[in-house]
Amino acid sequence: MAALDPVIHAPNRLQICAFLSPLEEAEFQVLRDDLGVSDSVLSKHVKQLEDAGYIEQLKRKAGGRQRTWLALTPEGRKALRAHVAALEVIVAAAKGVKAV
Amino acid sequence: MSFCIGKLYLANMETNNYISFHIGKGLGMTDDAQKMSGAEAQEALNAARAAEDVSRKRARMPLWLNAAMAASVGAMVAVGLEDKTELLIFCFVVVFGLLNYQRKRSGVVPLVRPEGGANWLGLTGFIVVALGVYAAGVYLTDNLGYTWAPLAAGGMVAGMAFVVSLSGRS
Repeated sequence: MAALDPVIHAPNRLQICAFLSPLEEAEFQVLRDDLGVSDSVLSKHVKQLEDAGYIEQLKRKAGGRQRTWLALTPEGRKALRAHVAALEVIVAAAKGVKAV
Repeated sequence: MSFCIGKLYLANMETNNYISFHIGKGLGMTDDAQKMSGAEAQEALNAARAAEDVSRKRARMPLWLNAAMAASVGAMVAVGLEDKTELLIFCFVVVFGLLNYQRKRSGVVPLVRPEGGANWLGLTGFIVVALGVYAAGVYLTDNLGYTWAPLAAGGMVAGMAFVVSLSGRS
């Protein structure tokens, strides 16, 4: 049975990974605005995901300003899939218990 | 704690806690992965799916951009059949420019590879049929001398590309 991933378990980190999962990459500001968090909160969680090897940061210059883009790594995608599978197992088990 | 209609707030984004709101029971929180209840796991799944939905919506091209991309791909086929290299390069530049515009406009880049077996099948089918149309266009133009063949082949490929891009929106 797949186990919950302690790095992805935090709701904001799960949402960051889920947001990035259908994408090649997303701009930092977009993620910040769509998730409704501050720069510092997002940076903190991105750093933790980056340290775990689940996310990579890409710095690019656009219009003379540096922009940060975020992308899930293959390890991050694998970990997210496993975490979601573990959550689904918990939900299914809970429903099974309720049905009994 | 934050709530925002139309966005993602099923969880408290400023902390590491899930928030379970039960009428009559108030707010219950837990951050322990080992003691996660079914309701909390469901909430986490809902939050993840909501985040994915927002992401997919953001990555979606506007209809006019879908049409412009499809027209550009069709034009590539047409000018390719006419052996007009300069125009072919121009079409590539237009496609690249449209993709770059979409990237800047949305702030995201969708996955290049399709997700799921059905999408792979759709893309492969489109490529096979488009190559077939191109081959037919080459035959009609070079062997039978039909001058309308490049335009017809380009139009067909543009139409197919538009339909495929629309199916990707749903």
